[in-house]
Amino acid sequence: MRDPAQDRVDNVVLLHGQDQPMTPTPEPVNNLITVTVSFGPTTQEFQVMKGHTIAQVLADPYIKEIIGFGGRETVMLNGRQAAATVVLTGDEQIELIKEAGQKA
Amino acid sequence: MKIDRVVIVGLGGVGTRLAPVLCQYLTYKSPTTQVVLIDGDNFEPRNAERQVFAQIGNKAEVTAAQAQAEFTQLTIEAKPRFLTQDNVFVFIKEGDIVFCGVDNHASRKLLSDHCGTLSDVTLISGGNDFDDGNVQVYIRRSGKNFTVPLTHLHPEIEFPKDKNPAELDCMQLAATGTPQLIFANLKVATEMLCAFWAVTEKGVTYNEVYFDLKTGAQRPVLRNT
Repeated sequence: MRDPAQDRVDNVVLLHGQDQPMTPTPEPVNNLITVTVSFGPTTQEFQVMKGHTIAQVLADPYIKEIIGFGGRETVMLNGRQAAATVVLTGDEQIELIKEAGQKA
Repeated sequence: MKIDRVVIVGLGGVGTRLAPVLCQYLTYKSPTTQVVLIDGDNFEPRNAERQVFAQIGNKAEVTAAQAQAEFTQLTIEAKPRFLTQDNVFVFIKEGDIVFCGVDNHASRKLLSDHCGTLSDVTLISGGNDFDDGNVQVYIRRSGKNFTVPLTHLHPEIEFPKDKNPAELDCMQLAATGTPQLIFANLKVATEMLCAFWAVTEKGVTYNEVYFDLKTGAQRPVLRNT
C-alpha cells in the first residue's frame, strides 16, 4: 500500500495555527515559498517548493486535509481566477471558493 | 446613512431570528424606517424546532403582527407572497436595504439580478448548510456595483439547480426541508445584522463572510468589483 506521505508536495511545512500565528513567519530559505491557502472560513500558510503548480500544491493530502476542500472549487490566485497549471514562483495566496449556504 | 425602508425576504429559521432584533434596533436608531416582510410560505408545527412564531399562518403576516405589537413606533408591512420575476420589481425598490433569508439559490439569483438593475440598493444575503454558512453583501451606488453581486464566483447561485418556491407545489415544498441546526440559522442572522450595521454605520470592509460552527473559524473577504 502506498504511503500517503509519498504523495505530498516536497517540503510542505505547516507554518502556524489557523488565524492565530504562534510564531513569526520565517523568511523563505533556499527555494521554499510561502503559500496561503484559503477555503471558506479556513486559511492556513504552508511552505512549498518554488516551481510547483497550483494543482500540485492542492493535490497534497496534508494540505487537503487541513483546508478541507472538495477539489472541484473555483481557484483564485492572489484575488484572480487562475488555472491549476499556473506555476508558483513567489509568496502566493490561493483561495478555493466555497459554495454559498443554501438553507435558511 | 439614512434608512428609509428595509425588506426581509424569507421568514424562516434566519428571518424570524433577524426580524425582531432588527426591529428593536430600528425602533431606537431609525423609528421612521418602514419594514416590509415577504414570504409566501406558512408556519407549520414542524417549523417550531428552529423558527419563531406564536401562531400558525402565513410567515410574513404572523411575523409582522408579532413585531408590530412589540415595536409600535415602526411601520411593519407583510407581503404574503413568494418573490418571483413578476413581482420582484414591485417589492424591491430604489434605496431599499434588503435582507435575503431564503432557502434556495434560485431566489437569491432573482434578487441579485433585480438589484443589479437598480441604482442604489443594499442586498444582504445569508445561507447555511448544517453547521457552516456565509453572508454576502451586494451594494450598488449611483448605478454602479460597489461590491460584487451574489452570483460572482458562485456558480451555484448563477446557475441554480433548485427552484423558486413559487414554482413548487405543496408536496414539493414539504419535501425541500433538510435537517438544519438552529445555531447555524442564528449565526447567519447575526452576521447579516452585523453586515447591516457595518454598511450603514462604518462603511464596507468585506462583502462576504464565511463561518464554520465546528471549528469556530470565521473569515471575511473583500472581492474586487
